[in-house]
Amino acid sequence: MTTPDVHAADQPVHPPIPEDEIIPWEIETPYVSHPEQPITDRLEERWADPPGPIIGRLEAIQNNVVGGRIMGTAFLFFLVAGVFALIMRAQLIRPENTLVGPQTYNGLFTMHGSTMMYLFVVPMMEGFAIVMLPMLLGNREMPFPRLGVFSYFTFLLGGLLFFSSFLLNTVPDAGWFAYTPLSGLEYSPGVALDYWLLALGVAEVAAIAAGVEIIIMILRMRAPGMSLSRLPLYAWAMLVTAFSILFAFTPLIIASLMLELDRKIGTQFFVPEAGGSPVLWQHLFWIFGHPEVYIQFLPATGMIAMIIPVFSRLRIIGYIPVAMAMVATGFISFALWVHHMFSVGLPEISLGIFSAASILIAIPTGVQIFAYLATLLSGRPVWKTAMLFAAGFLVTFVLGGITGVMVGAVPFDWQAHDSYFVVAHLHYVLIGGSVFPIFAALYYWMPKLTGKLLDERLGRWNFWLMFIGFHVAFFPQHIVGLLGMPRRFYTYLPGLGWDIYNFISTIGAFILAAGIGVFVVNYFYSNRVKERAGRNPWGGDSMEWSTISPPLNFGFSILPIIRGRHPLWDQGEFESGPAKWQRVVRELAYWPLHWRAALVTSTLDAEPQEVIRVSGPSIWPVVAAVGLVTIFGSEIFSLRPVSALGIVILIMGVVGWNWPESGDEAREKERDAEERAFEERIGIPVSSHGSRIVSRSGMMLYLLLLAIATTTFAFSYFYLRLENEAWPPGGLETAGLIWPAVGLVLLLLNAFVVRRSEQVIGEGNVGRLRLWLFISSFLGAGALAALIYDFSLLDFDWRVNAYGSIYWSLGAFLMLMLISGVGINLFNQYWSWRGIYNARRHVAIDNGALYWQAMVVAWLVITAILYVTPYVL
Amino acid sequence: MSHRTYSDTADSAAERRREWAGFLIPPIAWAVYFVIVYLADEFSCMLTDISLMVAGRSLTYLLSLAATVVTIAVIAYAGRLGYRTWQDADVGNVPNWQRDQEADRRHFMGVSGMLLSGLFLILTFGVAAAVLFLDSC
Repeated sequence: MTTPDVHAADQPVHPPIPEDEIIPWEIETPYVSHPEQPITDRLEERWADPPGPIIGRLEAIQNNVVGGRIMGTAFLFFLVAGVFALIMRAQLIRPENTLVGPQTYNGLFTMHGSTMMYLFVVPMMEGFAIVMLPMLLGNREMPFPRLGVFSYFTFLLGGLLFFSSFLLNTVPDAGWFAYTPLSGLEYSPGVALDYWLLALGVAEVAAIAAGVEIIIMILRMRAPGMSLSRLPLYAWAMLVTAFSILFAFTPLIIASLMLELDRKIGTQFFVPEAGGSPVLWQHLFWIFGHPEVYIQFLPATGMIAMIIPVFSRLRIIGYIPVAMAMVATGFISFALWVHHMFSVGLPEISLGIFSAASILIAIPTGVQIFAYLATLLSGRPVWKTAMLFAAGFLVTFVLGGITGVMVGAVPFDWQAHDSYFVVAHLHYVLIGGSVFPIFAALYYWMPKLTGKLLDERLGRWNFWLMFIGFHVAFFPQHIVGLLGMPRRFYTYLPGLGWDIYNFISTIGAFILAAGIGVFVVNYFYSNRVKERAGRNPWGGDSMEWSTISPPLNFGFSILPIIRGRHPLWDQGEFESGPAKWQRVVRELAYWPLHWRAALVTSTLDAEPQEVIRVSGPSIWPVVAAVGLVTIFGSEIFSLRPVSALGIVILIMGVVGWNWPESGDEAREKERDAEERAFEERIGIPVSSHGSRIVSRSGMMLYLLLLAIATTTFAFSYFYLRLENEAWPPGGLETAGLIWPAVGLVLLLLNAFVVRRSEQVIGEGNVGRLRLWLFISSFLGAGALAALIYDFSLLDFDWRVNAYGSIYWSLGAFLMLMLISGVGINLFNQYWSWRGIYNARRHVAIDNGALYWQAMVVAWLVITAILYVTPYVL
Repeated sequence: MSHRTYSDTADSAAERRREWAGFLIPPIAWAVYFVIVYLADEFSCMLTDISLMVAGRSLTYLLSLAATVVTIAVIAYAGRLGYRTWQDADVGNVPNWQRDQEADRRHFMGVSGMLLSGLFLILTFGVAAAVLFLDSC
């Protein structure tokens, strides 16, 4: 087999455009590689979508398909939530209107807010990232394609489950934040709030799954040469967003679990009479809720950071400040949550801290806005529809930010809280800061995704109707809020001076809706009528514009080598670089691998580190998603047998998903030989059975999730401690330190044992591996048994008071983690007996070892909280 | 097969650690500071039967003051790391895409470290103003 001379780079199609010069509208877009037909044919075959109208569609795994489905589904939810808003505005058009009653109105604002916050913006942003990131970063596919499929189906089924509440006339009605005690069993006795907690819980799992994938993609799977200093700003934004999703959604899942336990099995987390605290729910919810709005804003600002330079025909001014502003915004957003609780009665000094942080976050936000303005004003703006929406973002979001600084001041907030002023503020920042950028992104990237440009004339109508309609709808709400109109009231009395503002606001809402309707028309019209878009209709700067439109499943046949932040403007070709990198990208295209290959690179400099196999189509993620939704859905109605069935389906799905491909010994030897030859040729490891780097990163992020969940429980524990005079209250006693100590010893031994198992399989000793795995399972199960026995000695359960609830919850959480570890061991033991593992192939063993080592820390932390702190505090 | 990379020398590893330190220390230090002062104030306001005074100031105040001073010092140190990284990068007036990859990355990490240090110093002062000047629960 011969490979073309790796030193012959293509001739550049244009010289690099000088730094401060206006980029011509028409530029020649370099091809990443001339797609030679035999290579393209082989790659197309390797990356083809599975056949079959039903099973094939369910199994389809390729990022364009998965991301596109997430975006489409999210947009449909957006339209539905918009209809709810129109009904509310129609109800409020005049005082004492009778279009809907109070109960229906409560359901409408709950469903509107919940759908927009959980089922529209976050999935839309994640779906878009799944579609865009491989192309933008110059690679072929996301690291965990099956996780993306799982994310989509949990999102879809969770959303459908949520809306099925309409069919049973049990619509959640406690707001999108479901404050206790209103959302508790006493004041919401039906299943409506169980719908809210469990159906949305599924969607939250979907968000976290996609977040894990996005982090690993951005940090470890970029084109060679795309160092952190050359990362597209949208990728910086998504990196921060994905980490924020992990840190924010996990506390919400734990909080939702706690409230659901209060409702279903009698725990007392939020019941003040039993030592619980309704304010604890508010803390836990807003620890999620505030970062959530930045999770919605950051991807949007990343989109704007890509769009404005292209339509200003100038490289962005202030790349480093903008990137760092995004990073800083992500960190600071976790220190703002109490500003949603200023009127709850918290200590003034706490209010001051959060007020300071809430106002100071305007600094990094302002840095971004000024960078965009400077780029726009220094360039030669071309006012296509995407740029109009970007300008709409600038105007609207800044106005929302100004009112945000106003409500960040505690005395002002005490007046404005729960009034329409806040409704106006939040819509200015969310529609201005997320929805306008989403539309900008749709107009900008639609030609790449579908191959068709959206019509510009209809686009102008779309924009102006939305922009005018939005401001007509929401600006008057500032005024009516300051005049005293409260939010979440289904009607109001005449003669308060609110009538005209509500009337105008309703008219504006319908104009806004008409604008959105124009977009829907534009989408279908353009798909049917418009001619095909070229590769780069906007003369864009980033890598996705070098592929054909729509892109092939594998993106790039030869991966590019990156030398600048705006590759299509900075470089006329993509093949120059260190000789080793040239060899890697060429061999990756030409070597006849029998599986889907992608490249893993280092974090800082994107040096090629590993060629990995990304997983192919599979039905098992869909099965796992069905299992999860079955569990959550049946728990709404406490149908335990069905939940049990759901658990079986989920386990089947997870096991099937991770089932290693095994062939006969001769074929395995042949494959190993082929991989070694490939490794010799390119000089970096080849992992066809699971990337060591990607898989380990995935396990580390999973452990991070567990750590965040543990921290959430710990926060709740100490908060409840402070709410109670005596601790434990009611004279309750723990069973003593003997069994926790026994468990700790067993886990410490296990940590040593799993380390040995890693070492022996690294040497190829399968017999020893089986022995160490057996001992590890025995030790892990022993620690679990010690914990269960210790809990069996308790003379109180989770229903007695808040202490009992948090005690049992922490213990149960630790038990679940240990059960998972034993499950991993059993899986590994089975496959070690089947002969899968050898010196080259043992990623699952390494990950299992890491998991058990982390369990030592988990055990120490949780048992210290449960058994030691009552004596200390 | 080893995972060693081209520039995987002891010196470059130390330089990379400095780059990451300058980049990550400011936000993490500020986050830890925020948690400490917030929890200290919540605890002291909720545990009203315990009020330890030292030199006319509450223990919580002194803890917050100490945390503020330490945080400022740590962030300033990180800023200095960023400054040194930026100095070492020495990219001159060359456009971004013509720079040596390592120098460009180092320039980026150094400038980023300095910017983050500056911003999080301001944030520390902002939170400290609330903690040290407000005196009520």
